[in-house]
Amino acid sequence: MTALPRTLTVPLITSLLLSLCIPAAGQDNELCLECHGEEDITGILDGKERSMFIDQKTFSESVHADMPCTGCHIDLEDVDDYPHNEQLQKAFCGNCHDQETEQFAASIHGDYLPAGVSRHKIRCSDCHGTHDIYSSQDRRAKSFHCNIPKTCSQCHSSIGGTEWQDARLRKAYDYYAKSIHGKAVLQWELTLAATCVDCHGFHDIRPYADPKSHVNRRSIVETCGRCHVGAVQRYNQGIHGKAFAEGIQESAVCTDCHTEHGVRSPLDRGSHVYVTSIVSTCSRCHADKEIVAKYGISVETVSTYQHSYHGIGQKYGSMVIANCVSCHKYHDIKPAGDPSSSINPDNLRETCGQPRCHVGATKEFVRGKTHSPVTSGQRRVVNVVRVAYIFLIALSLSGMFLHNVLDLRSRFRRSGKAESEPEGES
Amino acid sequence: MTDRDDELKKPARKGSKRKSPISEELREMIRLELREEVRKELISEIESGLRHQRQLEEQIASGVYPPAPHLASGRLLSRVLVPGKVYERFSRNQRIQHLLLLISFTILAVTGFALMIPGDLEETTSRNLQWLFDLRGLLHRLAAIVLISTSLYHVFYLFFSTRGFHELLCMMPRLREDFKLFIGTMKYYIGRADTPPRCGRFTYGEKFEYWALVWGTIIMTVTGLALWSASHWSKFILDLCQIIHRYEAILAVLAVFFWHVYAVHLRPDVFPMSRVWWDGTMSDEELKEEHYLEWKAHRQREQAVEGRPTE
Repeated sequence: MTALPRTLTVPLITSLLLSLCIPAAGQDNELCLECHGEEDITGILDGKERSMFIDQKTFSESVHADMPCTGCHIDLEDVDDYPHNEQLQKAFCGNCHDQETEQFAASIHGDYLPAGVSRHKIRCSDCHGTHDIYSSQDRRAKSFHCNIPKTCSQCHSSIGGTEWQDARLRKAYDYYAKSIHGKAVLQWELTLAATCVDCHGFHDIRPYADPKSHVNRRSIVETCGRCHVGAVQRYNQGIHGKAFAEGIQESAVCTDCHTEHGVRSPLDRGSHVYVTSIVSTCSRCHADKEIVAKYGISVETVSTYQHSYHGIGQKYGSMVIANCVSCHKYHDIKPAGDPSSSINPDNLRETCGQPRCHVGATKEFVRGKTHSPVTSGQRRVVNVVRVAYIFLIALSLSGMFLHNVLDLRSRFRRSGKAESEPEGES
Repeated sequence: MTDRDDELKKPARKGSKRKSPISEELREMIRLELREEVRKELISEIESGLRHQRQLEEQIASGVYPPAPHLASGRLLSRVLVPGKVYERFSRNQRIQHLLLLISFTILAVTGFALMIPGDLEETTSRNLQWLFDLRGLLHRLAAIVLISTSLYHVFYLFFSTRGFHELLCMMPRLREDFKLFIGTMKYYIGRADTPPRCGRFTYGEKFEYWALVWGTIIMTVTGLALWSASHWSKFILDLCQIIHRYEAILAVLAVFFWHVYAVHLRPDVFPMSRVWWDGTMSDEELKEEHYLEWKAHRQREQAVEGRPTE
């Protein structure tokens, strides 16, 4: 502390300088930085004591470097009295960024609060920072592509979001970090892979159930299709895509098979579309009695597969045996009536005769209904043989059993008699 | 052509004195040589005959009766659990065949029924047991090859070896006689007869078991090979083969358990295990009881051999 009190010195010099020079923004900041440039300066914010230090170097490299302090802290514009009032208004970004603020206010992070949720509203600074807002192209920015997941993880991870009930909200970052998108962004720092905002949007994030949300069931295909163009194109040609377009809500969309935050490569053992997990993924709908009954899909599809040799091998975790996608393919699944379908009778020889499967399959081999149980009504002969065998087994086994019981009995009787009789000639 | 050849061509008349082209000394030498050779052959034949007889007598004396009519297969046997006279029921060749059958059948049954283990989808797909599934398949096919090879060898054995052919003839079902034996046994079991009927070398039960085995092996081989080469057959044939293969397997395994295992393990007189399959012997008493006619034929043959004059 100098001899002269600050209260006099600072405004004196400042007003002198101001009167002499054309007022420049930087000069205002000099005034503020006289105190806020000291590293140990603290103040109370949101009930807690925090550092009020502003790093001049950082600020000068940020996007707002040319802004005066009072440009955001507007309630300090005409203040002469220093130190200023400690209870300041929060900096309002909407003064310049009005569009974004409007959008944000209508989103879930803004005023739109679902009933019963009590938490503080998110401010611009929670995601963008305060005095360290860099351009989004700058690697240091909190909104830089590869930094976004970390930014969101402040709340949406198991560390930061312990108060969430919904596991998806709480563990989103945790799942994401292990996913293929997460690995690409966080480990390999690829700017092409999806981050939180690529799917959810940024200022217009809405809850999943909201029809205007980018990740709502109705919109998710479009959202994924922004990058996965080929897959979505094939999906739209396939039966799931067509059914969904017609309005059948239960038809599979991207997230039904691939899940959402934890999307992994099909080669990853944790993926829901890994070779050995495919059948259980498809069974979620195709073995569900209600869905199957509602849409007239065959009831026996999954059970006949499970009882077949393919199903048994799959149960053991065989990675080469046929599963659902081996025959039906995946994004462009088409019904058998479609001439371009992989399960159309004309194409079956190719499908069954795939390189690692029944190479050289004949026309006879592919004839007949595949998902039918061995003893269905069409194959009465097979059923007759089966019944005949059951009869034969029952008859012969009971005959054998009876014969041997009698034999045993007679031997015991004989040995009993031999004991009571004197030893005769052998 | 010389004069000599012309002379030789002329037919020799009895008593005609003709000048022979071979001299007297040469003829005498040839005669002596021939006599010597014939003598040697005769001696060796007599000696081998004597040796054979001695061998036979030794076998009888040591208590091993060779089965009729094949006399030379009565080799020394590995172990005799019951002292006294024993009879060779299973030759070594047959025992090896049976052992191969036993091993391959067991492996086939175990690896085959492994496919029928019930299990939920969710709890098993997380386990990577592909190696187990592949191993099961490999073992099943290897054991199948062993069984098929043994069966083919067995056919060869039945038709091209003396003993095999004899046993095949004994094993042929004679419906009238076997049915009579069956009725007789049933009467004995329920107390209507005092003694069991007298069976020959193979009882009706053994014949039934043998021919059921033949039938079962043929069926399983045909359907199994069809399933193995699946790409060539229609789904209908494959479905049919799958059903037959499964149910025939159930029948075979249950029959082995309820019939064969009873006869060789669980029956009181052979409990815990009959030794016939291991060292091939059957005691004289057992032979008399189970196969009286065979026993009687043996007795007669033995007496005939003993009665032969020795040198």
